[in-house]
Amino acid sequence: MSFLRSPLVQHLLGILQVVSACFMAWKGACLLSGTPYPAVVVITNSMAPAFDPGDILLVHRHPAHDRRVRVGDLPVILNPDRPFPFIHRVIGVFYDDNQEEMVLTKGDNNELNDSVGMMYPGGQEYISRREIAGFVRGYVPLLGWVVIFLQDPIRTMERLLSSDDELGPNNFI
Amino acid sequence: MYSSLVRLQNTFGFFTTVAFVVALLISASDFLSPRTPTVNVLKTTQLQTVKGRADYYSSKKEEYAIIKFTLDADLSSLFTWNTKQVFAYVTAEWPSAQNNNATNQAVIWDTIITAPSSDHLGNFSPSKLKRLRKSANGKGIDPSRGKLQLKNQRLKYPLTHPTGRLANTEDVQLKLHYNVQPWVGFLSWNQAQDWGKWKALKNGLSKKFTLPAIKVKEQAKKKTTRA
Repeated sequence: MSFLRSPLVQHLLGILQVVSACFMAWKGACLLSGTPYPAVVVITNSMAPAFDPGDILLVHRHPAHDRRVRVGDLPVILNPDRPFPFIHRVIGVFYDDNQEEMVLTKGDNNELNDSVGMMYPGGQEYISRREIAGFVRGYVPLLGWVVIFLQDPIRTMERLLSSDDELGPNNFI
Repeated sequence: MYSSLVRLQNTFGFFTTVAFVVALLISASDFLSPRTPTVNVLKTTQLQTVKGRADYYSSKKEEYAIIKFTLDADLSSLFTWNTKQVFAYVTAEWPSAQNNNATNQAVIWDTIITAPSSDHLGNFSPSKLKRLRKSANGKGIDPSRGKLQLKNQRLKYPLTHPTGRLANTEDVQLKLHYNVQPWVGFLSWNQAQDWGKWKALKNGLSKKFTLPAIKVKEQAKKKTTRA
C-alpha cells in the first residue's frame, strides 16, 4: 500500500490527471459543439484576410431542426484524400431533380472555386452535408501559432522569420 | 528546478484564464453597439440566359444566366472597434422546382471590406493601402467604409445550376447578405429579425423576376440579313 504513496507514483498520477483532464475537456467540447472538430487551427491563407495562418476557429454544428447549408456559411470540409479538413466559404447551394443538396465552396483568397480546384473527394463537382463536419461560429486570432509550433517547431520558426512572400496569396489550399 | 516549473505552470494557467475572460468580454461588447444596415436600391438592370460550356474541354452544354444589377446599401454601422472585416455578398435565390421549402442559392457578387485595423492584411496594392489609411485618418472606424454603390454591376461568378437548366426559372430574387468577422468573438451574419440593438437588414431583397428563355438563332440570322 505504501507503494501507492511513493513520490514516483504520485508524480505519475499527477501527470495522468492533467492528461485525462485535457482529454475530458476536449471530448466535452466535441459534445457541446456536436462535431469531432470543435476547434480548428488555420494553416493556409486561402481565406485571407478573414482567417490568417495561426488563427483558431471555433466550430459548431447546425441545430437538429435546421441542418440546411446556406450560402455564406463557413463549413469544415472533410476530404479523406487529404490529411486535414479545410475551411472555405459556401458560394452555392443547389437542389437537383432528386432533392439532393449540392454545395459549392470557394476560398475568399482563391481565384477558382473548389470544384474546379479539385478540392473535393473523388473529384466530385459538389459536396453534400455528409462531407461537412460543422460550421465556423467563433474566432480567436493568433493563439493557433502555439499549436502550429508544437507540430513543427523548425519550419514554424523559418516561416515566422522569413519575408512575407510565403504567407502571400500564392499559397493555394 | 521543481518549484520554478510549478511557478511557470501557475503563471501560464493564470495567463490563459485572464486571456479567456478578456476574450469573452471583448466578444460580449459587440452586442452593445447598434447595427442598422440598410439597402436603398437592389434591382436587376439586365437579364439574359445563354447556352455555354463550363470550360473549353467539357462536352456538357449548360445554361448560364447573365444578370446585371444596381445596389445602393449602407453597411457602415456594422463596423466596431472589434470588427476585422465585413464580407458582403449578393446572391440570386430561387425555390427548388420540386420542393418549395428548399431554395437554390448562388453568390453572384461579393466583396471584402476591411476595417482600418486589418487593412494591412488585405492584399492591397501599396497605392490602395495608402488611400485606405488616409481615409481612415488613424481612427479605428472609417465611416466611408461599408457604403456599397454599384451601377449595372456584372456577375463575378458564372451563374448556373447542376442540372444545366436555368432558362425560364421563375421567382428569382437577388438578396444582399453580410458576414461580420470580429477580431475576437462570434461571427455573425445578416439576421432575419431584430436582436436587441442589432436591426435586421431592411429591403435586402429585390423584386422577383423570371430568367428569360434562350434567344433562338433564327432571330440573330434575321438581324444580319437585314443589314
